[in-house]
Amino acid sequence: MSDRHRTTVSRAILIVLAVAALVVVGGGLYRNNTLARIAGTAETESAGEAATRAGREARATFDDEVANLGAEENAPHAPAVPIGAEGYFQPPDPSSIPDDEFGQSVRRGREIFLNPAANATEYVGNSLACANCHLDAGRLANAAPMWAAAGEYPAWRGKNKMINTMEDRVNGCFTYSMNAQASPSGAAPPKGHQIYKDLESYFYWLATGAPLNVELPGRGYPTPDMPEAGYDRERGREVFAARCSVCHGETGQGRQDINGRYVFPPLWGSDAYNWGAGMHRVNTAAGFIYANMPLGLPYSLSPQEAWDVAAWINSQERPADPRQSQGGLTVAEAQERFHSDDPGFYGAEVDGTVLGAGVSGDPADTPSATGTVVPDPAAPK
Amino acid sequence: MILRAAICVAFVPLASLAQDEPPDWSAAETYADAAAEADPLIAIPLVEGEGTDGAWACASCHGENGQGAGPIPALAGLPAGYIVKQLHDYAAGARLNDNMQYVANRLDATQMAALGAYYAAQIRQPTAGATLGGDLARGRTLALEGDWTVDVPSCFSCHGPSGWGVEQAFPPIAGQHAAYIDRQLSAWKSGDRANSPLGLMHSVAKGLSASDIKSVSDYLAELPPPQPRDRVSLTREPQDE
Repeated sequence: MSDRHRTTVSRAILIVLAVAALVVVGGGLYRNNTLARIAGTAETESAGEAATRAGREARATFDDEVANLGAEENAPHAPAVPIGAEGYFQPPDPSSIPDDEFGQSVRRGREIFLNPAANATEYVGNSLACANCHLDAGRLANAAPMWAAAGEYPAWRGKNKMINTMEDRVNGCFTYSMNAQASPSGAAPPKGHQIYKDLESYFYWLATGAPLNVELPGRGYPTPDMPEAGYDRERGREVFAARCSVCHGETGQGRQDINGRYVFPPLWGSDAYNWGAGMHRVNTAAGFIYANMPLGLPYSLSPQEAWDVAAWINSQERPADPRQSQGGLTVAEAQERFHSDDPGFYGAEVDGTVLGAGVSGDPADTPSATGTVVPDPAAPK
Repeated sequence: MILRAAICVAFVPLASLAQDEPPDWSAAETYADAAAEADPLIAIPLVEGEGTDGAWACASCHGENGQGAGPIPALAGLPAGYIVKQLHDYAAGARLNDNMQYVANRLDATQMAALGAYYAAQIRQPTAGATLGGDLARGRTLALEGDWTVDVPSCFSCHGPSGWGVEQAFPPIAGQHAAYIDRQLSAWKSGDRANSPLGLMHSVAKGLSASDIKSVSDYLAELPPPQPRDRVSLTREPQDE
């Protein structure tokens, strides 16, 4: 009887101990999320949050180094380049734009970059924004980031065969990509205009800590080598219908919100970049598309698809190259002088029509990327 | 035609390969055309649950004027083509939800088109708000700027600068109920919902953590909701004699 009693008591104790052990071990496993970690389902910090934190830490380290340059004998006398989670230069966060006159210029430049039709209205002749092609407000590697471009000028450019300052370069953006010939003023901002200064402030600030005169990885667009099969606009037409038209529309004319503002930019026609823009070249467009399109699905097209769809987009009529239309040249002459090295369709015959003559719409009907622009009809042309 | 469209939805990858078939995303535009021709008054008994073939009244969950609540989405002011496509997707099993599949299987194409027209014309009330304890600052960043470190463009780069949507395929998200957005983003992330054009929403959601999803859902719910572009009269005309 007592033996059995003792057995029962010890069994009870064992059970209590076992339950306690289970609670302790199980609780520990639960608190440490061990099972989820083993199963790979733990949710601590998202990849995005981790990358954002890594970028912030890189900038904080840089700021510390700059603050302490040469402060002690063994302290570095030059800061290291801040590097983000993916190994590219890490630009500063917009929250760190300084609260002074320079910071105000940076902010204005950023607003022009995001909404040129609203903030540089006089000089914009289409419905595009700088940030349509320089993604994430000019911060994204492999989407022609401005932190990489900022340190590359002055530079000699074959396009205009002269040394270009950043202002000269941005003048080209307005002249060609923003089709300034159709803008209310009819031209790019004049030399020394505040718009250049503010955009340059923004680029310069984005490049804080980047080396000058170095071709940084992530600059420009990573154009894949032209495939053996070349590029074909008819193959590109099918890629466009399947992968692009949901956003850019079946006829490439973009899509607007209920207020008539472009959300998805037009890719050809009177509201797009003109025949002088870098993006009209099939190789440039292929590189942008390959690394960045569709939005959120980078590198989802094959190099062949990227080249083909770039050929489809760039074999459509668009505003004239102003060097031709304003220079008294025929398309054939302009092709010879400015486009002979282009992988593109300028001056080529497509479906029985020679491309390059240009198409223009009524500027008053041009919806902007950010708000309907109503040009002053009294403004000098 | 409707059957063909439904088949397109069910076999999206095949449909996009087949020649002469419209791309899968254009279903929303096709359905918008159908909704434009539909009589929205047909929808009223469905909304109220009169004379339907066992389908529940829409209003029993979505509220009298399609305002929704909690995990039940507001339908008022959504694009007609988007609504009709979702109904067809439920009926075809391309979007999964037991309740909605039960209902959609009891609707015909004409009724779906009428429902799309009806709800698109309803005025949205600002009844949503943050309920999930998300980080509104993080949500704002995701909505306005995105998180390009994980290939997530901003919500507004496709859903419009106020989150009020773009045409038929990109519905408004501003002022939608936080619990509903949270559920949908989670379902896209896990693959339980897979009916967005090009899989765009899956690619976005898979870059977001559960806390990101809460944050952006709360932020969007706090925004002013869209208003319908085209108001149509839903009052019954008096009968002649």
